[in-house]
Amino acid sequence: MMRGKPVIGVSEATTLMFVLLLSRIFLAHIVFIIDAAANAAWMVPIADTIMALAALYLLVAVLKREPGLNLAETGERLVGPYINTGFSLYYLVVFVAGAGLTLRQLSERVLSGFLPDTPISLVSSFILLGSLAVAYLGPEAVARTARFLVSVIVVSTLVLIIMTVPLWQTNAMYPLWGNGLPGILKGIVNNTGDFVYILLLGFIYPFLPGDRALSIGFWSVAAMGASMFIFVLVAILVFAYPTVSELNNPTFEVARMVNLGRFGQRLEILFLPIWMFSNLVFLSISLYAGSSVLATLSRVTDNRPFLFSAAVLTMVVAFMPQSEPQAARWTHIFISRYSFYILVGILLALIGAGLLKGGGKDDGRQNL
Amino acid sequence: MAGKTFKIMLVLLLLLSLPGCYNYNEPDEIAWVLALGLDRGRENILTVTAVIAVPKDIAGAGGGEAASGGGSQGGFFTVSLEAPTLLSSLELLNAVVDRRVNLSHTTWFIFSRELAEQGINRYFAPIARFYQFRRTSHVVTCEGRADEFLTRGRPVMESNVSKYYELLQLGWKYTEFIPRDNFHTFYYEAHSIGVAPVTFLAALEKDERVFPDNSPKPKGEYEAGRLPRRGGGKIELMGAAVYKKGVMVGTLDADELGIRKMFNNTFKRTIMDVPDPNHPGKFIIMEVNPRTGPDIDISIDENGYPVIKVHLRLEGEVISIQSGTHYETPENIGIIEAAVEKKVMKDIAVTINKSKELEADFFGFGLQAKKLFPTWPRWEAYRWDEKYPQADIEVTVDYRVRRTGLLHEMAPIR
Repeated sequence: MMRGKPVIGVSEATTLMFVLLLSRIFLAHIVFIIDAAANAAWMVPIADTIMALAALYLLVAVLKREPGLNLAETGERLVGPYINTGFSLYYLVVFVAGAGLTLRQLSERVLSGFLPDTPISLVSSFILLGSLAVAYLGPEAVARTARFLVSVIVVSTLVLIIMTVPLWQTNAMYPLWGNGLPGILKGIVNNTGDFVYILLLGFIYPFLPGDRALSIGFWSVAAMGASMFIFVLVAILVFAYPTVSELNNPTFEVARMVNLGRFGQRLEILFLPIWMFSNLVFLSISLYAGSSVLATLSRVTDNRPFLFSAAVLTMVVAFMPQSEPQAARWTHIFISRYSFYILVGILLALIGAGLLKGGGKDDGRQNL
Repeated sequence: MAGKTFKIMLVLLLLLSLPGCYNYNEPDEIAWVLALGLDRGRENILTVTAVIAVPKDIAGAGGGEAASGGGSQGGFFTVSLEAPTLLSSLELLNAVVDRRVNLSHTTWFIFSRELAEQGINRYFAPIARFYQFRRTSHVVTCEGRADEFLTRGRPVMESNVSKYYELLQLGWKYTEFIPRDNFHTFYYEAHSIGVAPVTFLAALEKDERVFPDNSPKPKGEYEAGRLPRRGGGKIELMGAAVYKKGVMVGTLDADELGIRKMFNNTFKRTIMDVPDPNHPGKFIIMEVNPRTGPDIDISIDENGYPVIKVHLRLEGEVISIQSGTHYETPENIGIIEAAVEKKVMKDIAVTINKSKELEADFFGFGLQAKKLFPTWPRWEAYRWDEKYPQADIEVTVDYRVRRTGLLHEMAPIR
């Protein structure tokens, strides 16, 4: 691996992070936000974005201590190999479990929406194989793919949203506070993990130019927050509460609702590229990050030999849930609900260790 | 070299996956179901009737040519099956239809009135959940049995029965008596507090007379199954069926549905026969359009009941003045405007009374009233459906004549 040399541009890194974070919107995830906060669910992404930006600041503060090293390597310098192994296993679980559960949900959606007669093993295998091929080419290739696809994703998304405007019911915004403040707080607290993938910044950090990590993180998190806000709001405006809370995949259903006269129908075809591209980028980068963690744990400099093991682990996780609802529920519990707090705990521990240890290569005391 | 060959083989292998052979289906090996009818069963719980397209008849008829004859009934054939549930009947269909049955192009779901009055809640679930159905399809309540309705309801001008259904329902854009509502709105309203859903009301043409005499009757009094006519297609689509908790509780005639559309902002246009205030027995025929959306102001009085104030702004054009009076002049045009306002107010009073009698807020005032409550628990605790029949509803109508057609006055006939 070529470290210390910027090989991922700012725009590529920003879009990569953005697409990675965004992919969660296109699965069942939104449903859990709406379940808690009802029609006031649009407030949740706003609050969670602010929390994610605070965590991002902590992450960048840790990373700045050891320029040229990824988060796992920095952790080893700060807390030693034993504690850091625990932290690294957490990173591995986030990437591999997230990828596995996403792979399962994605495959199930393909089956229930488009290819009902195709065996799920075949669908999962081909999705994983494609992601693996891209991950093998390295983070630069994934980042450039994300940079290229982001325009397709953004334009398709905007077109879809504009076409749903005639379906919006403004009265669906009321009662304004949904299930009340407790419901909104529950939504905020239980969905912070939507932003846990800021963790990726910790693993592409060595490839980023200069001190742009904070800027890259900020714009990707802000764009993700804005996108989630828009998608939650549009789903509520189109389907209204309580109907919206019944849906398995509100974003997909929004696309199915577009009906512009006799010929402007069945436009979920526009949704497909957004859905598949973002999830394939997600899987590719998760495999890359998972293999990077494994490489760091094994003290090997090249992550590629570990890509296949990360893929096998991903496939194993994908088939652990018995059903799609269970996969969605596990994603919510393990990724959305708890993972962010563990990350913040790790980052605070690393910052604490850094303060105790004194300055790093880049004047850690000033940075921390 | 070997590595390169391996990569090329791998790419070729991946290309094989693109067509998705597992789910390959030739369009001409699929039976497209265009409408589904549900009746109370004769030999099982349900009679499910499927309208299945015969593509060769549709393609053979050519653009715009009317459906006719052929091996089927004109672009389609129907199959009725006795089954315990909707979706089990669809599997049974494959026992009598050689092609694989597919529901992705189903346009209409028709419930017979008999079934609707028993409740249709249990039939929503598969429509909302099953991936082949779409929420953009439409729900129709028909007088009589749905199997007969679908079998006899053949298009006259279209070769494609699906186009026939779609064009019929698109009448909501230029008539007052066809609702805009589709399955999605029906489903959403059925699950919401503060609004009663409606479906299209349809019927087959009746052979016997509808009215015993030729006394004047506003066309707005008609509804499907009570439309005096001869000829045309067999299907009549006019008015709406009102539901409450999934059970049909009544119907709306053309004028009542028009008022509902004015109140929920889906009204586009109607032609109104307004009694001439100065010439009894004669009519002024007016086009009525919305000027802006309705202003609806809802508050709760000291006794806890809703006070609803609606201000309707309408405009339109003079189409005909039977008496020949010069109402078109600026000083007289107010007479027409007042007459239209009086007619609309009369229809509004009748419609509001019906909604209170049925205890069904089919106007959707409750959806506006939600704004008064900060949270769902508070809104649910208010029990809108119980309070609505005691609501104080005040309506004002402001109609403006904008145009007088191609004439600015009429010379008397001598």
